[in-house]
Amino acid sequence: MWSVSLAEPLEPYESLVLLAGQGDRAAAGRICERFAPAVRAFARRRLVATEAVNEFMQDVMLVLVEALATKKLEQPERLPGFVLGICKNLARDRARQRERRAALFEQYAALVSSLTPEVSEKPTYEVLHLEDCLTNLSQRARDVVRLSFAEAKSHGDIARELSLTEGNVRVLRHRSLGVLRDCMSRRISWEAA
Amino acid sequence: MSDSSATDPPDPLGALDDYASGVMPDAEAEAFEEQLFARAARAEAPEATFMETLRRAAEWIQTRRGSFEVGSTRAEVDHLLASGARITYMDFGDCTKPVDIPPLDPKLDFFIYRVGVDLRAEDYDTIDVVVETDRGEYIKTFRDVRYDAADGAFYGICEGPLAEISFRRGTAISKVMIGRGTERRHVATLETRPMASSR
Repeated sequence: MWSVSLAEPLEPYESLVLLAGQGDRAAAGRICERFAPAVRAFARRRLVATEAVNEFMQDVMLVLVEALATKKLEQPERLPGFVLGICKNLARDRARQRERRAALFEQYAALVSSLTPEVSEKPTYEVLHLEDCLTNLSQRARDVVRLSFAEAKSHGDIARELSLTEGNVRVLRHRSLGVLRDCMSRRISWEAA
Repeated sequence: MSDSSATDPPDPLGALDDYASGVMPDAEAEAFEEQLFARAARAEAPEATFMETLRRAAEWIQTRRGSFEVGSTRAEVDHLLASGARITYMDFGDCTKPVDIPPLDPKLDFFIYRVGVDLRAEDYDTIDVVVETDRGEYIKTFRDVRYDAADGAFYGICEGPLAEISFRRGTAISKVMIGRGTERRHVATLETRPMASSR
């Protein structure tokens, strides 16, 4: 399921920032969880390999949790811009950050490691769900999904490989994403029947 | 309360895809990033979570299966059978008799089946398999199904847990449809029935 559950009211992020500043690691963890997908999207725009994207995300979170723990963020309401600023700074100078990363990782590894899911030997429910939903797509659309999201190829490369225009690739990607999102927001078809 | 409705892009998932894939121009991306991070702070960017879930699952399938096709060839099946994975293989026959599915090993990696319907002589553009319950309720459609060109049979490779979920649900009626243009023709029906579990 990709939709946000509204069963419990979400804590305002300003409160989480204050708690994290008082040493509450769980609060810091919840902030990291909220930002992890957005930080990955930021990294995807600039990096190709999933490992590099994961490493960048961890780097951002290490800097963020330290800033929260040491109350560097004086105005909690500025958290979104603060996290985006960390992303931009790290993207500007990744080499300089490597040394600092090692030190921070030693201190906060447990907190940020959980944000990078381990690759399971067995298929997760998400994998089964995607397999089930992919069958709803045409083979052309499945090819676009594979090349876009499993192989991280550019629109240009996909267009060449499938003899399409880049515009067609973009439309097919968006359409397939919509179908998959709707399908994966429900239960696996066999369970729902 | 959030004021996200005033600032959300009309198609958040499409916009995120344009952003992450680099299609969105830098000038536009800057404003998009600010909006994305503001929504993420409020846990109101589910499209970003979905996108990462999709990538992770797609990478897993690609690494493990190397294919996003529906339907396999005999050669692919033989390759998997020789891989050492825990596999149950069943020949479902030619769709003239119902097939009883025994309880599956919970540790099964793959369930592989062969359906001996030979469509090589048929004239078609597409093959779809529409699955319903035995009461006629729609379950799902397998679109653009591939078969083995050498023997004309369908080979299905299913992750063990997904096979367990599908067969445990009950009797399923799978209708093989061939299509050309806007016309569709029903050419075969396969009935599968779960056998009672002794577990």
